[in-house]
Amino acid sequence: MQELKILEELRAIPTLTGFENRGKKEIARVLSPYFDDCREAGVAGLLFTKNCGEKDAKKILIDVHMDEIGWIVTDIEENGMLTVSPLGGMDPRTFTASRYTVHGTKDLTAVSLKKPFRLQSGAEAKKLPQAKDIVLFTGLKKEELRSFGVKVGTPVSMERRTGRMGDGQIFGAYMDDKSCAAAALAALEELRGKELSYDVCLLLSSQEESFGAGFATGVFDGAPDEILVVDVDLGFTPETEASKTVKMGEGPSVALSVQTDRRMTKELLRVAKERQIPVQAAMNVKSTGTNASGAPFLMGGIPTAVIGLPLKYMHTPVEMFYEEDLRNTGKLIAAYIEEHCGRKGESQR
Amino acid sequence: MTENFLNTLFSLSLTFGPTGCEKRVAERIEEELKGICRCTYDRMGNLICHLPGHGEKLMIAAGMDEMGFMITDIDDKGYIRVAPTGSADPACFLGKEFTVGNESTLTEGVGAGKVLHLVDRAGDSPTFDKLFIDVGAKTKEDAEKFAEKGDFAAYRGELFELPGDCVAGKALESRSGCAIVVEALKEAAKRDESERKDLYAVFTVKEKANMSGAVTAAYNLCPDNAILLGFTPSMNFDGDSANGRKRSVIPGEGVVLPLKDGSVLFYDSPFLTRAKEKAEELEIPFVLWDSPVSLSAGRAHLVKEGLPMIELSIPCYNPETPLAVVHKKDIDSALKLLTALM
Repeated sequence: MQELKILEELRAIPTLTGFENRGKKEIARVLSPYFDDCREAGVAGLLFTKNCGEKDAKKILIDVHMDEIGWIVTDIEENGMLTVSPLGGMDPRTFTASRYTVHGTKDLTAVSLKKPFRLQSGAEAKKLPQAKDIVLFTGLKKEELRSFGVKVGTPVSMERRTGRMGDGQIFGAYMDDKSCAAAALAALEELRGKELSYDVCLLLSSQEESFGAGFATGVFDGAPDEILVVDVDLGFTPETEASKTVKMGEGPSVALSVQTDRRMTKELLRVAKERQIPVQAAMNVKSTGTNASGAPFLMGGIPTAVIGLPLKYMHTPVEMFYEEDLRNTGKLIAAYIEEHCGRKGESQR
Repeated sequence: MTENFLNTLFSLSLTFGPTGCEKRVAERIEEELKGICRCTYDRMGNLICHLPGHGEKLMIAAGMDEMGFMITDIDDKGYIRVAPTGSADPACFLGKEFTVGNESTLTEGVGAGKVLHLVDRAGDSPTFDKLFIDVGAKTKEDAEKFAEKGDFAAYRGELFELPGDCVAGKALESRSGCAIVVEALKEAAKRDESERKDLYAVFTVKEKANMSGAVTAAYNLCPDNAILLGFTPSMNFDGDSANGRKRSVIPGEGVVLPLKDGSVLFYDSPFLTRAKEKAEELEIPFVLWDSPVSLSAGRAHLVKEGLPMIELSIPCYNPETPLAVVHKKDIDSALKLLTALM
């Protein structure tokens, strides 16, 4: 499956939230072959375009955020220990004894150290550790770290291992949201050779995990007529509420929300049904918690829908999803574009 | 540290052997010691390796078990619930990889809990009844191909070296001790019988549940003296960084000879004096320290009329996690001193 290979390539490129510029060139190298055009867009974003061949054609934009959560170095202590502060929504349940990569002039492996549980007092042991309770240990001395370009402000990411499990499940860090970039490419593959009357754009947006600067500015640069935000969606597991999650292995979700365009969401569900692509509704009534939250305010308002790839254990080093769900996410994106941006089925507005 | 020794350390540390399920580790050690000494098991599952010698009957004990969990339930969807068999950290579970299984079958899993977006990030750690392991199963039957209630889970992970002679990975706080004893026996076996003590190396079960085999082995063997292998947590990062970190043993500064641990006073023991003098004589780096950890020594030194003992302790970051960190120099120092005392 070609898209899984692309996913591996994308995940190997560090693009921590706010540090996307460092990985942009590499991302462009991986994705450019699939498009007619690649350019920088908005704040630290990349906009890829597949032309339909018509002059002044309308545009549909698929948004996938490329940024990742991690740490930023805040101090190097005398003994070489690094103190850090979170970039984006790091999960404090993963701070203890984890493996990280410090992105100096060379990548350095680091281990988070915390006071051993055995020696913590009752109250201390009960609380979730916070960033101030850990340090990162690289084995290097302060001067050595300096010579590798590690300083206050250096980004640190989670270990990028990939595992496979059971019947077609894949896990590892940073599936959020690079798995959705892979799904978008799967969609393009499905659309190969189909005659379209829309240009198809893929926006790799920045800073979704922090303040969202990449989406609004990238969309402005792309000036699309419709947007499909594709992001991972919370998958149902034990200890989680069914009503706030989607089911694993049962196809992509379509967000039903006041933030999304009702015509688009209805069409997505209809097209899926017609083509027998498994799909489920995600009841994100007030907010989708994705880039789409900003869409109603952009450029006079741009109709937007959200497609979700069900994912378990979000923001951990073991984010897990079903290959089949990724494939179906690609199919759903392609089906929608074919129906609405094809020669015969112009979007009816 | 020789490459062979490092390989032994890696291989022992990677072996699945949570508390109560140490058989694979024992078999691995037996393989290492094949043709070197006579290996037997006692009724508790402790592996006892006898290398006959002269004079003092010396017991050397190292715990084989790593921090583990027992399977308490498998639900209809194949999600596995566990409870810790020792003092495991509930903040060190989510997002970790696990090996799940028993003496014959193993599979991989990941530790998980409630969705982050529904968690109070400044609140309490989840308790173990709110955590679970996902082995990628879709049904209970799927999961039960590998494990059932009463079987075990342990952290899974690679072992790797860090700059500055450190090694990181799971189970290092206990398996370093096992590897040191294995290597010391190999060394002692090269000597003539008259040039070594009557050596009983005991690789013990259930150390981390404080039900150590060291206690029963001490009862059965009636040694004159005992050396226990252990670990001392390093915390030279703990405390308020602005007001100076607390004092702590630091990996790389030498093997720790505890003056006392959580339950035994060693400081006035002639055996400790002997060990200290030996280390000084051979210029082996060592640190005298008040070790806060309390493992098997507490009970073992009270066996029968009392058993004189010392601990050789390895400074360790993150003990009992998937990423313990130890220093090769300290392991070498412990090996040298142990070999000398044999």
